[in-house]
This record gives sequence, C-alpha cells and structure tokens, in this order.
Amino acid sequence: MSHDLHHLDDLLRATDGDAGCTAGEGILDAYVDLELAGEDAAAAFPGTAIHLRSCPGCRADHDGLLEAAHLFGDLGHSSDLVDPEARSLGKNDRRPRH
Amino acid sequence: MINERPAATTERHDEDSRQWVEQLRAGHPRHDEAVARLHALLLRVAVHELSRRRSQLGSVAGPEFEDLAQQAADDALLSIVRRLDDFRGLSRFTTWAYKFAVFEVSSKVARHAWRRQPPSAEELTSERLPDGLSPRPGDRLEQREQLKTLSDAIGSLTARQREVFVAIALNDVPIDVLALQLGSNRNAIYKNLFDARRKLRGSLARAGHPVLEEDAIAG
Repeated sequence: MSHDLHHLDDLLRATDGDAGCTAGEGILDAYVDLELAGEDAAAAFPGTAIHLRSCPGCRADHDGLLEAAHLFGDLGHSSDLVDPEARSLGKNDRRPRH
Repeated sequence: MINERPAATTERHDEDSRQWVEQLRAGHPRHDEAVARLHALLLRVAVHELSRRRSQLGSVAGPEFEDLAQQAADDALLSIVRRLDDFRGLSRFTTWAYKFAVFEVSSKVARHAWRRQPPSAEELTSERLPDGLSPRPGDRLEQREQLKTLSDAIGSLTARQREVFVAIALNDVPIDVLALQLGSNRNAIYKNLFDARRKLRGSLARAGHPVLEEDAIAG
C-alpha cells in the first residue's frame, strides 16, 4: 500500500518553491561542486533541489554533470592530458571542427 | 516557479579556473593549447555522457557515435569560448565547462531519439495508469476511489496539460523528446506538467483523497 502512495506522490509531485528548468540550468555547476565538496547544496539552492526531484530532464543533466565533474574534474589542471577515449576514437587531431 | 539566486554560495575563483579563463581568451600566448586541452576534456565528457544515455540512442554505434561526441564537444567549446565572461567562479571552471557538454549531449540525444522514434499517438493519449497504481482486487475501497478520482481528474485538464501529463508521467516519454514533438522547450513543457500535477493533486484533495507527500509518509 505504501509503495502505491509513494508512486502516486511521485507521479503528482508539484512542490512550492520549485525553481524551474531555466534557473536550475544557470547554477547546476555550482550545485554539483557543492555536492562533491560534501556541502549542503540543497540548503544553498533549495529551489533547484526541489526542481531536481520533479523534473526528469534536469535530473538526468544533473546526474551526468555530477559524474563528469567527479570523474574528470581533477584533469582540468593537467597540462599533459592523457586522453585514452579520444585516442580510441582515432582523433589524433585534438582541435575542434568549426 | 522562483528565481534561484546563488547568494549563499561563496565565489570559488581557484587558480586553475583563473588560468583557464585567461588562457582561453583570444590573443593569449597559450590560447591554442588551452583550446585543444579543453576540447579533449569536453570530448571525454561527451563520450561518457553519450554512453550513460545509450538506451535512448538505439543502434547508434561506431562512427555515428563518435560523430555525435565530436559534435557535442565542438558545440560546447564554441559556447564556452563565446560565454567566458559569464563564468562567475561559482564552481570550478571545468565543472562549468562540462555543463555545456552535458547539455549538448542531452539535446542531441533527444533530437536523435525523436527522429528515430517520435512519440506515438497512443503515448500522447493513453490514460492508463501505471501498473503500480492500477486498481487490484485486494485494494481497499478508499484507494480504488482515489484512483478513479485521479482518472476522472485527468479528463478535466486542459488539452495541453493532459497531453504533457499523459506522455511524461504515464507513458515515460522523455521531456525533451516531447518538447521537440510539440515544437516547444523543456521549461515550457515542465510548466505544463507542474500545473497538471498541481491541478490533479488539488482534485484528489477536494474529493477527500489527498495524496500525502513522501516526507509525510516517511514520518
């Protein structure tokens, strides 16, 4: 029974204070870095925390950015970047195409 | 909806971030090198994010997958260089930059999914409740009445609210795919979804079947 109630609550989630997609997009990087630093991102950005529980699109973007910042964030200061994935793609030329 | 203000967050202009911004500016002696380094990082992020969303890509693999990653990294890099002045130091520079790559992948995956398999007419109109909410013989009368009220209330939504709620909440159509199908954008579709949910929750409450919020249930 409680499983169904959780499901129904999830289906109809519409919480006051929801920041919406546009506001969340602007600060998603700050939100994620706070999380990775072990700080309370939801307290700093309560409207975004609410939104991320309700919006499947923004939640997917958040989850992706959290993983990327966790996995690749520390590579940002390396001047001698080793890039096995780019190499496996056969991209010897690192320059972007314009 | 409210405007989220980052007032509670301290600025984090770390040395690495400062160097990234400096070196990416046109005319800096290390500009080309910085651009190449950033593009390599963005490509890794794009490949990782595409892999994470692979279930939406169907049979895309090999050169097509690589091309999508390259396009996402290229487009992200262009946006970043154009918007360097928007970086306020609220995060590490790399996290800010990776956000562009994630958004590009998100957008490209949605467009690909929409082209490959646009939402069917049934996905936009079928009001069948998910299995977890379908009335069962053993359900209490109260719960069956609650679900019947919900079904009736869906019919009272505006046409757009019903279409959005039915597609996203009942039939799991990705929000960005639906936005493309309806010629709209994620924010506008989310607003429709939010209003629909609020109206349905209100209808249930007025009918004497309020939906307890998760936190209240847990408590």
